[in-house]
Amino acid sequence: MERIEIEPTSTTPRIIFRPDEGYFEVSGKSLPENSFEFYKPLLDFMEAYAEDPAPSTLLVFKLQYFNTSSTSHFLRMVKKFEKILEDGKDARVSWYHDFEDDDMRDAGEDFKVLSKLPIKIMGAHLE
Amino acid sequence: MTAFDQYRMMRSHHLIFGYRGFLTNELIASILTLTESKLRDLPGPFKKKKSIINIIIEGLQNILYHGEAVEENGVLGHHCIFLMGQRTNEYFIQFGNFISNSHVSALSKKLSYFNSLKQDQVQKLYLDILEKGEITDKGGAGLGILRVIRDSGRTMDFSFVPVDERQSFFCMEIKISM
Repeated sequence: MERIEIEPTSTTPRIIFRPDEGYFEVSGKSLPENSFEFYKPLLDFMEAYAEDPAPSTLLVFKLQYFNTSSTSHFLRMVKKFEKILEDGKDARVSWYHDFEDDDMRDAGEDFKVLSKLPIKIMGAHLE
Repeated sequence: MTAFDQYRMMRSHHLIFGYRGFLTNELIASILTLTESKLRDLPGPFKKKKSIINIIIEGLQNILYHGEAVEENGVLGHHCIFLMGQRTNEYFIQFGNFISNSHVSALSKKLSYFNSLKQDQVQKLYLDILEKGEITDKGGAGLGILRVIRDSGRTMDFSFVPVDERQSFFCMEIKISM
């Protein structure tokens, strides 16, 4: 599968998908006017990847803020990779939040409640 | 009215800044950048300021997705008003937009129901809707409004001002205690 790299805009996040390395990153701000249009191709890509994944897969979120419509797509991303775990391979999520951003940390906690994937929540200095 | 009159009026109404006019998603991003910049200089914990950002995202995108497009000065679009202010011990955010009269009753019922929930019920309902994935490209299912109530930690004030036989003006005010 080809790599995907999408530069961020004022309303959409940076996307780095490196399927050969099992590395998937979503970072920045996510408030697209049409979140389906933005995320649907990415979710299709992840679904195809989950059929034949790398030995280990890491999904990284480094977000500043997002709309609720994006949240539902982030959860769908996480759910796509639950299949990898069910198939006996390694898949994890790293959820970064700015050190003082308790709100983003709590959003990560919401995902922990809703997902079977191991989710590690970590404070960091985000750009 | 002079600029000084406007200045005094905004100050007496505790307003920090506001916007009136046609709304686009790019404009929402600009308003957020401006808000972030203003909040850096204002008192209050980071978490509360982040709640203000979240509330503005949901409130303004709600107008874009669900507001009624109207024509003003030849421009058909989502005309609205957005105001942010600071009183002693609280920030307040006001949104106003046109909606079709046919939507008033359902929206009023939904907001009254959300307002009646305790915070733990709001959180539970938020996660339930998120998990069921009942989201369309326009959001929907009330997730955005639930986030607004969750982030403000208080009920919201809302009203509908009749404009004509087709439209009303929907007014919403959210307060965030400091």
